[in-house]
Amino acid sequence: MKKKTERIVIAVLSVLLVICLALLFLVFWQRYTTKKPVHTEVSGNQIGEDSDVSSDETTMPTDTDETSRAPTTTTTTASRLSLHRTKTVHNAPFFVKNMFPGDFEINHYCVRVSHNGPVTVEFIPKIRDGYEVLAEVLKCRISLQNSGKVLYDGLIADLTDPAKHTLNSDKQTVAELLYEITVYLDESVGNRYQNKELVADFEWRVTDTESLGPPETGQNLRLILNAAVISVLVFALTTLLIWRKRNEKQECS
Amino acid sequence: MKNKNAAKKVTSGIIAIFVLAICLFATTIALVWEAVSVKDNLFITGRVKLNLNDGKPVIQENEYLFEPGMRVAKDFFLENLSGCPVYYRLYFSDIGGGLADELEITVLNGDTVLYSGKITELTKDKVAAADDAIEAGERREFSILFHYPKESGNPPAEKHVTFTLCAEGVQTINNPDKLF
Repeated sequence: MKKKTERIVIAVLSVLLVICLALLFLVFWQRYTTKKPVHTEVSGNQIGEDSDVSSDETTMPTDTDETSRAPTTTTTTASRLSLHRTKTVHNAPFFVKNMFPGDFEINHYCVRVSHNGPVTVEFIPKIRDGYEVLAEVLKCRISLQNSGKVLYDGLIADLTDPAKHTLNSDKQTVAELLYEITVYLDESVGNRYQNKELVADFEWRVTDTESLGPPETGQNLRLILNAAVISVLVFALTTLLIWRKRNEKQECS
Repeated sequence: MKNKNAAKKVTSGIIAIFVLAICLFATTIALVWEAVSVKDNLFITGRVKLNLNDGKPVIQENEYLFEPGMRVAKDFFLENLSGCPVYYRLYFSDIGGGLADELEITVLNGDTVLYSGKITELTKDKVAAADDAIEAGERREFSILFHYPKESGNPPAEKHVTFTLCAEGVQTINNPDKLF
């Protein structure tokens, strides 16, 4: 009888573990398949033309604070934090070759944030190891097209403290931040930096997720999955611990 | 036997807890840290590279014994191996020998005279960039004319000249003033 119970418990735990792993896989699969950037060559970018990012989606006004009073496009469908592709903003990575002193390249990124309350969106470029030489001179200017506010202008390597922008709203809303990133080389850059390479990953993040709300409608699958996985794991862990304790007690007696 | 089973159970329990803890940690991070990223942003700088006559000298030692009134023309080339058009200038360095102040040099691009003067007048700090740029991948042919003027008189046997012919290039992009 005891053996039978043990077998049942083990079977249940195994099933739970499998479910957990499957759910985790689903979570990561969803994250990395829906937001994978397209690798394209960047050319013919223009400054000032991309402020109109109107799409076919419904828009509504946002209630923003001083730091984000500029007109911010909002939509009714979004994840909590996502890159949103529009007709003019493709969120494509930089692919710049043959840069010379004085050259610059501009890319635009549209970050969509679903929030209810103050939320600070941080931008940080992560330079990969082995590209330190060009990092000594490569500069970037991070600005928000929504407000024209320049968040950072300087060496890309010095942007270790993220470029921050705070959004505020009293009600559940989905805001879009239009980042204009200009990467450039000063005209004074010398011969030492000829034929050098730099690879960086750009990241937008919200570390304090308290005010991040689920989108009003639609894609909250990830949240549900996360909650489900945690619940299942907690249950499995508790069951395992109780079962072990019981076993130990029985062995002692 | 009983101890063996107990140890086995404890081990499997620890492993299970470890796996579950990792899963819990991963999902917790996923909940408290929201991030999106654009990976693999690539930046590559260009380079300016010139090939001057494959590094070969335009005139060899003991090739000619200069006499008053003598003219010698030698050809050489300059190739732009850069990925962009470049402004260039040709000049002489490491100049030595008594003939340096007497030998007249003319550098020609076809029929166009690029530089003319005594070899000591054609050093890096005295010559300007050529008027036109050399395109990426272009190979341009030049002639260099050595003239020993008649009025210089017979050179003593030990008189000679040595020099290094140099080419310097700079990108035309963002450089309207041809600054080297």
